[in-house]
Amino acid sequence: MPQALVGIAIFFLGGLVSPLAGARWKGPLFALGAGLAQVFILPAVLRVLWEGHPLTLAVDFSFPIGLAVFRMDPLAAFFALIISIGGLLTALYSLGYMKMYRESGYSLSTYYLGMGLLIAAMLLVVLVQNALLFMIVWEIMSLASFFLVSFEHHKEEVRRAGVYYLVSMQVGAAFLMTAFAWASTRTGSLDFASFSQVLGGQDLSAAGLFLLFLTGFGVKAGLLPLHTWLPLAHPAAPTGVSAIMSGVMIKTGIYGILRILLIGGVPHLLLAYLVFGLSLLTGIFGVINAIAQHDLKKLLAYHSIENIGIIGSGLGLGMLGLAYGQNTIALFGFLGGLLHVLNHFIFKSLLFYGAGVIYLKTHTREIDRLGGLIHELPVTAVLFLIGSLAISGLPVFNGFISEFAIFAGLARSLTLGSVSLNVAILCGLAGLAFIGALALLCFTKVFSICFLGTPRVPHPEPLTEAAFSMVAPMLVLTVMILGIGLFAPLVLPLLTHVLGQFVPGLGGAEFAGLLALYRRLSLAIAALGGFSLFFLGLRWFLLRGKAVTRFKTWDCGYQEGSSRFSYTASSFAAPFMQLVALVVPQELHVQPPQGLFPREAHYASHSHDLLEIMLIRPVNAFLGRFLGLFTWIQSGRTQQYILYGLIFLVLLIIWIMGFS
Amino acid sequence: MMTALYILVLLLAPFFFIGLINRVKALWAGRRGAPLLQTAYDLGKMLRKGEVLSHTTSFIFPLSPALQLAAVLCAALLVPLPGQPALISFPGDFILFAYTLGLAKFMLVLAAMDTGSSFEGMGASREVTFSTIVEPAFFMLLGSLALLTGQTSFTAIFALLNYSAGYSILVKSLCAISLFIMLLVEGCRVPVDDPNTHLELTMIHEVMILDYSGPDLAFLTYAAAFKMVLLGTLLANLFVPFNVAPLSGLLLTLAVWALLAVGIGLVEALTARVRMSHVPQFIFLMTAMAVTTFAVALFFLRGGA
Amino acid sequence: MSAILIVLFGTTILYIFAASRIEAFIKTLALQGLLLFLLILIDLHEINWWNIALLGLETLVIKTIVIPYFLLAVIRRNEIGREVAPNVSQLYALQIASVIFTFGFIVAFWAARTGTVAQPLYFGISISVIIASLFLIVHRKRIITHILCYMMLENGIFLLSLSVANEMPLLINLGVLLDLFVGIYLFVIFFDLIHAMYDGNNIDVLTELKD
Repeated sequence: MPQALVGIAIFFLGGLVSPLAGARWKGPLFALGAGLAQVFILPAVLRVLWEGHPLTLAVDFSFPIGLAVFRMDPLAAFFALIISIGGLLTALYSLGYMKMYRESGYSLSTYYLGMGLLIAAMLLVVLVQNALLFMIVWEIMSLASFFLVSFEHHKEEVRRAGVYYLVSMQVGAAFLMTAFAWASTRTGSLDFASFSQVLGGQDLSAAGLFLLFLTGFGVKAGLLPLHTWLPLAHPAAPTGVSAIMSGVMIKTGIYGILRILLIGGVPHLLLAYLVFGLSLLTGIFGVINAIAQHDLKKLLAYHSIENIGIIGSGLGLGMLGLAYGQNTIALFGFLGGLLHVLNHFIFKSLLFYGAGVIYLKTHTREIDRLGGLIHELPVTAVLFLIGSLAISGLPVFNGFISEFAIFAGLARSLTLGSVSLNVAILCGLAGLAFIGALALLCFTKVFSICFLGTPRVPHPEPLTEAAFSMVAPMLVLTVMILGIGLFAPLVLPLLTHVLGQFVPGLGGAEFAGLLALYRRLSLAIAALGGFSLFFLGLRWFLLRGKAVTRFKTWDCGYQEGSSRFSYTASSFAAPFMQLVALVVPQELHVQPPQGLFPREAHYASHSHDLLEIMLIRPVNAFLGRFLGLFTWIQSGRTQQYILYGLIFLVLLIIWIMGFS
Repeated sequence: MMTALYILVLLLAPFFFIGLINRVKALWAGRRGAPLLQTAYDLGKMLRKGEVLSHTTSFIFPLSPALQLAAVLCAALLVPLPGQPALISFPGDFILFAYTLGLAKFMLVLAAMDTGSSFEGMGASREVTFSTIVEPAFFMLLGSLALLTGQTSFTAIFALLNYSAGYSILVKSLCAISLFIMLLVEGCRVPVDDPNTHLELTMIHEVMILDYSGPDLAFLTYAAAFKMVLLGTLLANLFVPFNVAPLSGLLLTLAVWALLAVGIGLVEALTARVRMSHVPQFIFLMTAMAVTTFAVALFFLRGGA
Repeated sequence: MSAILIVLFGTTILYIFAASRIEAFIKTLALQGLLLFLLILIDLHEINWWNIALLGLETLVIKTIVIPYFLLAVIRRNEIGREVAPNVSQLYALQIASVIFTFGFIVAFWAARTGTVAQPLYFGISISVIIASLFLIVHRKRIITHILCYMMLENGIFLLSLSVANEMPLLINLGVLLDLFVGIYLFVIFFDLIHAMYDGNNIDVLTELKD
């Protein structure tokens, strides 16, 4: 356990030294620190995952915090694994990516300092078991990420995104603090273990406490309707930060919910339905909005919301299994949810890294200005393709493995016989299938518009492939995708103890049955691979000695083709957007062609987030008007404010003396 | 032995299937129509030719048809035939079935967009849009069947599907109608798409393979036909009892396929292509049917035996 | 013995109220730092050696030598002399100072009576120091004076923590050092950035920064 803390300290120090180092050395020093930290953290993590015994360290801080326990149980180890590796990969990626910023005159000290602080804080979040210390490191995490998001603060939209993000995080933290305060005053202690008295049980206060925690952690995770900060913050941040935020940081919200679940024991049935239904809605809403986007990073941000929805529905299914006392269903649900946490980290980081390369080379995030990149950036294209296939949940890749678990769990629950459960399962099956088909739509769109076809806006000069420091993390992630996708029965045993924490009395037989199932699944997938190789070989054989010529694309006899004719992202998504027009309001600015020989025409579309318009803006407007009534208090004179403080102090002392 | 026969029949069926559909359409129109095995002759011709690739395409274009064919064949491993359990079967295999077909679709769409032509982009866009409506409905259908039988793999479901109880016939009929509509969508038949032309009005599947030639086109055509036969097999499984002798099961399956092909031919001959903006409504019919199927299954399961 | 030092400490407050030269203020702050150091030495037996080293560093080195030296250097470089005439005249301010002191002694008596604090006299004087420095911020107009009052506030808080507990929690030490750090930081901002644009004589100008 102390080694893990040393590892965390090294991450932090790697960032701390960056103001002292020269501009070219900040990156390598941080990457070195990240790599060194792995040496300390990974063995402890892997040992806990493999053996299942938690590591503990108790430190006595003075008055407010008291005795704080740092515990790495299998759940914490699982998340620590993700955070740690994510930190290392982003450190490597930033070596190449931040060069662009360094050459434009930015100082990277803030970046690396913030990054080191963020990763260290996230690792501490999953380890501490003391409520006050948890809030401290949670806030440090939020603030560090705020500074990272506002890296390009001279741009107005980045500033606005940063402030929106900060406020959202504080709202979430307020809910968390209320919940922790309630729990610790009821139990008289700040330690998580003592909270099981208030969280366990089926009474109303336990449910209310759970809802408070769900809201607080849900803001961080991006559950509906608290997700509105995600699509603003991720595009505004530099790519390495977006990857860490999307792949790792929002998972700390999921970690929080899981921790509360562990402390509370078997959840109330209605809460399980709530989590399940809310997550389905989150997934569907996220992916529908993703299809409407034409900014690459905003699209990926909405997909993160969708995947959090998938994770949440897995967790919800697990909770339903626990509530109904069905261990197998709980096993499938939690397996799907937890594995998807890992899977999403892998493929979302890969996609963000690829998007970063695109931005670096073409200086635009607008999909409709890209095209044909596969010829100039082949390696990035292939890796991005693998990421797209993985996120669509297609077999051979890792996304399928976790989605399969959730689907299989859902299908099994149909045998239970409860009507309300069956209706929920129906919605779950239909919802997840819908999400899968939509993800397919979205990523065929993204990949094909960005990489395939011809460039829609010509490049001034030819592009070169990304530097190795950026490609290497993507390669590592690809290997992980294929590893989990093809060799799932080998990877799943790592999760045995994590799942054992959630599904009490998990027998070896049930888990062995699960592994047998996955072995047959892998057999089918291996058959797929085998067939592919066979047919590729057949094709090669058939074309041996035959003429294979190149010509222009069949164009129905047009004489003057142009890349402007090819389909754009908005056209690709248009049929679908028409179907869901009620859910995604679109704003059109159209200047149609006029006259017989039109000279100019103009079309711009912009989609809005429905929940932000219906929910967040009215609340903000009301608050603005209400608090505007009190502006007279703020006169701008500091002395007046100090006078307020002075009067308060004197009155307080008199009151204490007189009335206590 | 029987297994090998089944596999052979399954692999040869697509030619006859398409041939029969075209024959029915031709006969209804008063023509004599092409030979039944015309598709086989066409495919043979294509396999012997070379290829023309577009300048715009990348390595994805040539790889895609082989991958699609592999995916469709892999999906076939999971589907049982009456009297013959599936080659690979496990609880939840219908999920792999649906997603493998999804993988095939992904590769098809990518290859279409690879050409950079707006025709193919149009087809791709419509194809993926329709699949967003079809997928949930398919899962709901299978959910109903799983609810009814308490099993979650194709082989187990069809083995237990009791065909004598009254409500089970109702559920199976509803399922069959939905699967038929799904066949029309996935096979790109009228009223969703016209396989004979690629005018703008009917640009869905035919247009996505415009740029293909030679062996690639052969692979694609076969994969599309094979997919239809697979869905037809699911339909056959619904109506032919599972515990028949293998030979009679095979003959009954052939009969169902033939009936299906004739049915599709008649639908194609008798109906016109639905207006493009109405196609989603038509496909929603499948979703509505699927929800109804589930409701019926739930109702009878709770109330009846 | 310690009572004498405490009362001496309190008298320095009255001196600050009376004086209007900035240099006098700074030198008084240095004297306060020295007094605090002596007070800690007297209470030696109750604090462990690690804390003593830190406290010694804080009071003797930083509060008595480093900060006043630094401030004097800045004053002399910018040629700042006296305090500007405040709104309420000096006479009334001095009377209010005596009222504050009385209040402080009342608090000291109350604390001695209820027995909740270890050193009642420390407690009372420190409360009056805190209130007095807050009042002084409200009263005076120059920004430099506000910074100096802030330092005095920190001295008062330091004294308060000495009185309330027998041992000095590390947290309070760190808090005081942090506040000092922030104070100096703001000071530098004022004198490098804001002074270029605004005259540091009158704080009213800063109301333009209100949004």
